[in-house]
Amino acid sequence: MSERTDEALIEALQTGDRDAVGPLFDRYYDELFAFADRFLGDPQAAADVVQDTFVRVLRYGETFSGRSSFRTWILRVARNACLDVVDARRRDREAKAELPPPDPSPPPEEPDPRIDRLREALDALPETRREVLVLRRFHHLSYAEIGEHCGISEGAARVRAHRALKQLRRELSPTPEASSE
Amino acid sequence: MSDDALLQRIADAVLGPPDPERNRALEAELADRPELLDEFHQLREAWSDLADLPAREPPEGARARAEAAVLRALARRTEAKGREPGARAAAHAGGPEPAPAVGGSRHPALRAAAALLLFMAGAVAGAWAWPRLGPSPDVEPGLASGAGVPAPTTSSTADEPRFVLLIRGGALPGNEAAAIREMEGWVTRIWNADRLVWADRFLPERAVWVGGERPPSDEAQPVGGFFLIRAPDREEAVRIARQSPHLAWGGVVEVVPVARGPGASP
Repeated sequence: MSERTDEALIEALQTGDRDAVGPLFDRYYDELFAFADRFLGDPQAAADVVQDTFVRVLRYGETFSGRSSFRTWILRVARNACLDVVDARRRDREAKAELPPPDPSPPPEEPDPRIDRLREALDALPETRREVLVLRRFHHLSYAEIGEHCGISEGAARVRAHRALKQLRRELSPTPEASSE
Repeated sequence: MSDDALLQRIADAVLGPPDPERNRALEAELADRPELLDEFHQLREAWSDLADLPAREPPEGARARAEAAVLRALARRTEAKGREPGARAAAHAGGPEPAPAVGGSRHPALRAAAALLLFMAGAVAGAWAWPRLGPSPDVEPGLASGAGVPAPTTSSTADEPRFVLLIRGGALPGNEAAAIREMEGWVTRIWNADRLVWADRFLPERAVWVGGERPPSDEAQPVGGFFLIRAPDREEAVRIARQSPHLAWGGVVEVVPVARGPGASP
């Protein structure tokens, strides 16, 4: 039997076909996890987001119109789920002044200090910039796709990617320059 | 060529598809602009460094849990559609699939959660109406845009550990609408993660104390309601509790494990 397309799988999912779940996970789980992990810098939160993403795909699948590729669409669903986490973190930060800090969970072990530095530098970028850089570098989206993903123009996506990279370079530099837009 | 135009070409060269010939030409062009040449090299190095950032592995068992959650959600959805008289009639007639039911067939746990929220909002009737029900035609995938609510949960998760989150004390902040949206977001996330079993509100001011006085601790932080959730362990339950916006409103959440075993509720 030939492999089913993404569109066929999402359609099957809408009709309650359990056999559509496995292939969708095979195709997208790792990529979505990598995206969410780089976006959020937290593997546990990323795993939650990916689970939430697939549940949303089940729920919103019928709104997938096919105008963009399914991959771009599902990445956008994951992005929305990531933004919810970012919002929750923001609220948490605002509440911290009044609350005792929670027990910090130890960061995952990273034996290579260079990789540590890269992660820190990426995490230091504002979400909007980090997202563009991650989509371009690791998911190889075109600027048009990134623009669609983020709700900005292709040109704005290009400019944002450039600024993000410049800031990353500053973050990676041993003597960081003053941050400027 | 202006600096802006050169900078744009540098950005395109770094962020675009690899093209050694174009890069050599650009380097030659920048030979008399050492600061821009340096910018080009540094950006290229940062871009190249970034590629070395490996993808991490998901936490152990995360994929299996996610897949199981989706299968459960799928089962609930199928079951709900099967229960709709319109759906059965349409299916029998070969007609189109009806839109998900809205309003009348809400999950009881969500109804209870709504009741709890209304309680916390000081029973501001009408302020909270579970506005995210019902997909719109051009819905953007995401929580903020609407969804049909799944049908009641099945008993396939009956053996999972359960915890009660007791919502104690706290007062709704000034912007009630925003606070309710926050609470709604939290409840929806628990729901989407297939954790929510039940929720309900209490009326502590009408409580009757039998066999003793009301303890001062309860007076200071009365229990306003509870969420019964499923979670693989206490850490996960605590993590969920920590995300409650209720904490930012001066309240606390008490996480109490529920005994499971023979005689436990399904």
